[in-house]
Amino acid sequence: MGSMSDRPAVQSRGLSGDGERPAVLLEGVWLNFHLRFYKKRLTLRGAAITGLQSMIRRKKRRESQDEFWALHGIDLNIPRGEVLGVVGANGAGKSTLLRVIAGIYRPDRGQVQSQGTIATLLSLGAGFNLRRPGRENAYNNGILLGLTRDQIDERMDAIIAMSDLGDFIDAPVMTYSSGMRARLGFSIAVNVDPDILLIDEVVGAGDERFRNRVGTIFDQLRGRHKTIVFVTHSLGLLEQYCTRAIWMEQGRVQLDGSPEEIRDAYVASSKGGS
Amino acid sequence: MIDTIRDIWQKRTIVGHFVSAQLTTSYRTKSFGFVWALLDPLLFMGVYYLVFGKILAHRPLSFMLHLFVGVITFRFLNSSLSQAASIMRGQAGLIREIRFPKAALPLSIVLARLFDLGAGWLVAIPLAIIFGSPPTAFWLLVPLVIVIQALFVLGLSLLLAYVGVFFADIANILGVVLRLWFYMSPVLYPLALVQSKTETRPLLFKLYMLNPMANILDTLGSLVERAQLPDSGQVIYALVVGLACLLLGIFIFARAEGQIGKYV
Repeated sequence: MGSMSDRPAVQSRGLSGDGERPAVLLEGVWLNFHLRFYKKRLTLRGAAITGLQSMIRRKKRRESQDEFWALHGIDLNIPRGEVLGVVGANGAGKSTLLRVIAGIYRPDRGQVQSQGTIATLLSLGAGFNLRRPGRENAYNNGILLGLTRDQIDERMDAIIAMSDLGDFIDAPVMTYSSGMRARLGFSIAVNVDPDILLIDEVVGAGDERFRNRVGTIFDQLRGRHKTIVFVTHSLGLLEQYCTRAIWMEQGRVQLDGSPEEIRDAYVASSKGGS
Repeated sequence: MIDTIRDIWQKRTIVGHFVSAQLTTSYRTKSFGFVWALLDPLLFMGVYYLVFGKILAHRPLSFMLHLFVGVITFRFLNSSLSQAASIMRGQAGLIREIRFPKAALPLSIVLARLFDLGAGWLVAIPLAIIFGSPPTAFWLLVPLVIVIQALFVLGLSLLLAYVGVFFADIANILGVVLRLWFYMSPVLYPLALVQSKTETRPLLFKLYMLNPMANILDTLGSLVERAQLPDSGQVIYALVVGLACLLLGIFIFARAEGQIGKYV
């Protein structure tokens, strides 16, 4: 796997290698969802009309009823070796932010740059085939996250050990509890050994023992200058894992600071009943 | 566009994985497994033999080879396009979960269906012997025609996969279009029939030959049935249309790469 981009090259090529560049750099990132594409009754005629309309007033971007701006000009600089926690209310844009960093969404305005390989763990195994055993799913997910079959063979024991699944690894994933799924997904993503690991609210499904283990693993990864972005609703985990945190509100970064600062501000605002 | 191609090349392991997943659902889950890849064309040949050789008409055995080659060739187009039209919505979970080049999905469909086509041609060899026109040296050119068709089919699959993200009804529309397309292509009848019926109206025949599949099928007919070099005009036309579709498809995916995840 190349050391550079895990996304289409336009955004991340161009600079020559120097270790001090941030792992992830977002500059004025705006992201829009055109709501018309979610309407069930999208007719050919309607599509033709809106298509023509958007061609005519292409330059005039305005916040019409059709648009939902999930990210409002995000600037974010994540240096290597940082564990960044992201908190915020539902719908604040946390998951969207992760998908933009991962390159699943391309920003409508602004720039996203990232250095190195990226692995994502964005939900409790949407990539899993529930009827197939955990081991096979580990293979499939590993390949999708960028490993070769040989690499997965080498790392399978480590994946099983870290997930703590034991013999369950050969049982269909649908027999797993959500905590077990979280553990499997997490072990795969970590053992892909990405430079940047993006995790969305998955670890919370694990038990105490697993959460503590995650903390140790994050510390190890940080020691190897890996970068982690971690979305959570648990302020406890935020303090336990993260070196820095941001609080998102309506697609903006409301506050950027130490986990303790963010916790205090976030708790205060949540209690304020706003 | 070059970035899109490079991206797919770098992630070719993923493409291979998708292809094997496609073939697994088609074959490995069944008791006869990959034997179906050979059995399937044999069985439908049996049906066509009964219908066109015995019941509806009494076509000669030589026509059966035309029928067989036509059906496997058209089936490659048909199954690729119908699967491509719904692949993005079908894999929405994965697309929203992990970043990979989205074009890998329609590409893997076409490659898997290309495997079916290859199996079909394996069956075609003994059938040709049975039908009394055993393979000649001209058969060696068949892979070239397959490549040309594959470019065309891949281009259309990319386009349909993209449209399918925004417009689920495309699958239903496509079903009708493909049926019409099948009857408008020289599969169930020889091209010579169209030629003789349009003798007085050459423009109509030209119109008929705008269909790339008509050109591809007649090129195959030259190689396999008539054992002669194909009309170079037909080959070039099919190649140009195929490349144009492919370029358009790649262009659209290059532009839409970061949008598809939002709307599947």
